[in-house]
Amino acid sequence: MNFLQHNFTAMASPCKFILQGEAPAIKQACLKAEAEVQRIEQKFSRYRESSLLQVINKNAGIRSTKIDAETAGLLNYAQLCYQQSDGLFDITSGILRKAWNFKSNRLPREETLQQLLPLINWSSVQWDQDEILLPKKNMEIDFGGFGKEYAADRAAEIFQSLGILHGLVDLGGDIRIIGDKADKSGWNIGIRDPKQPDSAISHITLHQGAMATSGNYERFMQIESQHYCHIMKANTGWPVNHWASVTILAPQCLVAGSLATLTMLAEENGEAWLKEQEVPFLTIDIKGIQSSNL
Amino acid sequence: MKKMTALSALSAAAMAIPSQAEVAPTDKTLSYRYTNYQEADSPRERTFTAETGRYQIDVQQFGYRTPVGESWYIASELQFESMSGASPTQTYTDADGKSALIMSGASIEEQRVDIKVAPKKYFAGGTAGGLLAMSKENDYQSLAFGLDGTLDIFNKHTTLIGSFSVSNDELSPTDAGLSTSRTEADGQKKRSFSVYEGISQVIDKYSTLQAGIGYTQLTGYLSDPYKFEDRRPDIRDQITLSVQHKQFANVLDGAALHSNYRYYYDDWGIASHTLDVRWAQALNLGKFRLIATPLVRYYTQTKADFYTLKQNPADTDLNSSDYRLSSYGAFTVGFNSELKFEQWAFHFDWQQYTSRESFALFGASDDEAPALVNFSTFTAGVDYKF
Repeated sequence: MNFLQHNFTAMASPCKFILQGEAPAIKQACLKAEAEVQRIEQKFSRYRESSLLQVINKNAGIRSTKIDAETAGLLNYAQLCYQQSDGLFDITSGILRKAWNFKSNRLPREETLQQLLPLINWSSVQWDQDEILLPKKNMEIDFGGFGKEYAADRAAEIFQSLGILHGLVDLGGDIRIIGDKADKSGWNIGIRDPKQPDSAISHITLHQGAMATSGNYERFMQIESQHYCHIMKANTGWPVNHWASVTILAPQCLVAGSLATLTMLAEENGEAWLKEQEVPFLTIDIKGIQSSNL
Repeated sequence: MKKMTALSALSAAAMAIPSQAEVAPTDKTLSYRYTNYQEADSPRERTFTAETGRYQIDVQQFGYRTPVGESWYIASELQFESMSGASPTQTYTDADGKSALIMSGASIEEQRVDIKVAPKKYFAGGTAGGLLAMSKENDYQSLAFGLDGTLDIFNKHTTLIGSFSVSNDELSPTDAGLSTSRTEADGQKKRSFSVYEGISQVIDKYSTLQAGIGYTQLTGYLSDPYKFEDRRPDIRDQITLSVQHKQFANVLDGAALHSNYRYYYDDWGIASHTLDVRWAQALNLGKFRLIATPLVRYYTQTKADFYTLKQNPADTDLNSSDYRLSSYGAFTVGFNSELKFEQWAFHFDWQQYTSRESFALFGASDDEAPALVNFSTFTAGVDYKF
């Protein structure tokens, strides 16, 4: 069976669907799956004026915002990530972008960070299944920590529900398998080399499930040979600096992505924690040392 | 016991995120259906006159469904029916103790127009809809209004379903001066009131179960003015209990087994059971996707208290020889198919219905009802989404 590829851009990343089967059915399915990704982006984008997330953030310190079951489900998920990471993974920490500008090649001033830290506090957020209230003005939440992975799962489920049997969803490197290749040989997926993100440091064959990577090379700056990446610890406002990349395999892309991010956040404790999880992983630390149970 | 790992906790939380609430469809759909309904001839050895041809109905249906705004969806339908043929006027037991059938002349030629509009609003936790329907033929007109709603609870694993409808019909029989029953019926009203409460439960990834109870009350002129000696009560209370089970199966390109059972009871003395089983099989054929659905249905009912084959019952007695009020059973076999290709979907459906007194499971009587009908329907149609 022939392969078809559908490329588009969403969530500020290059995205693609690779599928096997008959073109017309696949083309239509691609449009529907892409629409689902766009729907999630529009609903949860921090940057889009009318997104639900914008409304929640604009209402911070003023009033609560009604939410639907999908949003409540994601908040519940975020809550669990917060608990599992002892507060290091916090969806109110996106506000740190106001201090960290990776294009400036300049470190933020400590007093700027100190002004922002009181606004980072997921446990102070009041929410239930129907509404959410951010207690302080200027507080923000964002789903940047797992929105893309969630969208990858949803897109794959759209394909599955439309009867597409063979293919994969790749949203900026977050992979979710729709179904194995027709000849059951598996999909060959490269894991980026943190030092040269355009080339692969390793390859893995996936028949089902998902793979996600969290890396320090996505957005970063180098100042006085010190590496500062975009993954920040919610308690200090400073970037983690132990792993260059963490790749996780799990049935769902959402789970793979969060486990990878949580490992990055746990820094030197990450490896032991990861082994407890009994998931397939490949980690590369900042010295370039690989560790894997794949 | 091992302590719960982050992997299992996160996986469980990820699976608990409800897929989108029932989403308002975003496609507009234009559809057309042609249906031919053809009743088999009556048995000549039982008919009083040589007229044995029965009803034939041709139906043309035009549908348009469109989203309005973010969360509304409106479905509308326009239907033209043309009916021709003869229908049974009376069945009675003749002097030899054999049942005989009087058919109306082949004079019936009728047209009917139906219009339906059904708006539906989609909420995060359910839907709310309405229905307005009008139907007009030369001797009958009907106006119906309904409301319905669904409510998702328990993380959308359970859905509560409720609906309510009323209708108001008016009779104006053709050639009202032809018989006393027609004169009597002219201008008479018939009203109905229905409520339904149901619950739909997701059992697991592959199956759902729905159960419901319905109540309908009909009041007004419920007799058939075109039949002889047809005098029915002017009120009818009907109760239905129904259970539907859907089981998905990984057969070829996906399949589902639908099993439905319905129990019906009314205060005219009729109780019925319906069992309906269908297998919907999806097949990917190159650029096409085919959903082929063979089905079988069995139906059995007991007769109404006032159903008789008396030729000349007392005028004060309730009486009807309408075969639909007799005890009988019926089998339907059918085959529905839908062929999808890009934005198009083509439909071909066929059903054959056969009814007999001897198919009745309960309360079968020896009174033969030669008017019992066999019919077949054939539907061809096309949908276009854009």
